[in-house]
Amino acid sequence: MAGSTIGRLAAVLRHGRNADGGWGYYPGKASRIEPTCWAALCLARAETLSAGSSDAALRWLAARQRPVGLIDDATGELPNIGFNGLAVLAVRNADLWSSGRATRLIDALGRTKGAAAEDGKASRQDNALQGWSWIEGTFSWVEPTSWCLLALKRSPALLPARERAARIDEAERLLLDRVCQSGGWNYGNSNVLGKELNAHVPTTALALLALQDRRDHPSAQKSLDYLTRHRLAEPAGMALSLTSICLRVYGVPAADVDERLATIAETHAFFNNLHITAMALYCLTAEDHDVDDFRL
Amino acid sequence: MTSTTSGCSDEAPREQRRRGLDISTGVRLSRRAFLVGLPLAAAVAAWQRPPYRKEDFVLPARSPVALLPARGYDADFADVIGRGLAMFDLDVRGKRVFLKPNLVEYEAGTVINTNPHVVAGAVEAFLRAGAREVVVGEGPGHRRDIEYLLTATGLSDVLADLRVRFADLNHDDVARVKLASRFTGLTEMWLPVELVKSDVIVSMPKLKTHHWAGLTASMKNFFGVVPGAVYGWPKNLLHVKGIPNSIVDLNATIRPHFTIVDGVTAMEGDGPIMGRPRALGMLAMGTDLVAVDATCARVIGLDPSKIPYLRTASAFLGNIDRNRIVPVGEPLSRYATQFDVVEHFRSIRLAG
Repeated sequence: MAGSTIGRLAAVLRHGRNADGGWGYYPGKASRIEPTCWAALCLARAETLSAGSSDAALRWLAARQRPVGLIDDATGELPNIGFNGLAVLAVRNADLWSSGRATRLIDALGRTKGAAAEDGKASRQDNALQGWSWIEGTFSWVEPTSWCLLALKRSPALLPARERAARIDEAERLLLDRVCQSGGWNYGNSNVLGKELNAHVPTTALALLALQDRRDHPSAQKSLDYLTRHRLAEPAGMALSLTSICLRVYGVPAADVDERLATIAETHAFFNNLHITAMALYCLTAEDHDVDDFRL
Repeated sequence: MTSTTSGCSDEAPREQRRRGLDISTGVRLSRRAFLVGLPLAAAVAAWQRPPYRKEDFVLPARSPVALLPARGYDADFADVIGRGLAMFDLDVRGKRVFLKPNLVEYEAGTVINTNPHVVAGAVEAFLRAGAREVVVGEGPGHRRDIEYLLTATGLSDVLADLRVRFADLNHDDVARVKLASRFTGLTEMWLPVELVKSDVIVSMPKLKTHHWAGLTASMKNFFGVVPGAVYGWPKNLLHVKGIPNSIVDLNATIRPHFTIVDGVTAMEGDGPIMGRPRALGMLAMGTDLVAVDATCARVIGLDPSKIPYLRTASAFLGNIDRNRIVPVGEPLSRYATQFDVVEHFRSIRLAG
């Protein structure tokens, strides 16, 4: 991978850091959980980037942790549960988070569940299953469920075994219940009002990461096949980055994904989105870390 | 509307006051919280009171609605929209204009989104009308990957040519805003600073039937301003609180100034994503979004009084009564047709 591209992305990330130690989605915007987590992942793993260390990002995340365990943005709103799942991956190996902080975060996620949806005729799915919602009081969706499932699987010692196993089992069943006919995942339902919905690349890559230890399941295999065939179908930073991580975890060669990612970085630089910049940088430096943060 | 900002300037409260977006109203209890502990009679009386302050809203005596022809997407939209703007009393000179198109999802060959050429035409028309700045912004409710949507739809190229900035509303800084009506039971929401600090807010929807709301046009389009980074995708809180309630609360609070509806090729059937393209060859415009949406409903053969959010909004936000809507431009009859709708919305068709 061209070092100059990596260097440019690292410079963007370095200049985009806020004085409080976190990153916003765009330069000059307030620090938020998601871009700060990706920056932390990136900087912790690729010290040769000259983009600074991850310590400030981890301190920002620690400062935003509520007593109940979840991290919130500086908005005072309900915490974004999906991004708290991502945060578990970002802080997992950090000394700052080795005390009770990580335990409280995982414990809070373990106690959080999507709201029960009414059984209706709109979708052909099992509404009794609950994973994780984006915010409390709403329904379970593929992305937050995948982030939180991956977080729980990555943190075996931090929850009582029976409780952890039950949440993992239900979340896995939810994801497998929502697989699209083509393989892969839409955002939530796989069908609505009698019509099959299309799968999308980012949701599919993320759900497959959460199900990597179930890779022999026919739905996982079908979805991996979908992702492999559609790996370049959504040529944008988020889709390509998640695909790159996912295919690397599954051992599927995908150099063309990283090449496309680098090309986009050079053409429009992800429209200055720092979150996507950090995701791309993480992927383009994968030779350093082999996406270990996402492996079970 | 009270505005507590997060990582932003403090322009929002001043602008909200100017627009009549109440920033001084004290926090009131939600309807549900208020009812708890009240005797039944008092609860019934409270229930019957509308969840907004009547003095904050004035229904227009008459609402002009313009239907203007545009046969295809190769039309000169700057000209069409410029002529439309001239029909209304909307002074944008020296102001920051915010255009909110409808970007939801991309599927090749479909008409899910507001066409980029219509957006480009609006940018040019508002700049010609003297706007100081035009910003285009959206926070897609489905696909959070805005980079993909912008490039796949071609909107990023169009905006780059015009040197116009795009605001990613899902990931913008946010301001805490008091709701001007409380049909959802919520008292406040977080909204993007880019929206809140604008002088003139323009809805630019694609005209579509909608399998949960019946119709999506000017008013429903504001689901896209709710920041996903705060509320998640697909802005599920709005569904949980009721789609009609949420549409009304957002419009009562934001008080958009104008709308330009892309009805050049609309969508019928299982909208807003899986419906079929249906050529109408028109743009609809106006300052009363309720009246414009009611007119669009009639154009596609739907009864606005049977669309819950339009019926609710007609009590205090705008007009749906034919006698209070003044057609300017082309007559409704030129475009009137019957769109297909999903089965559970058959009853809202004008034909019955």
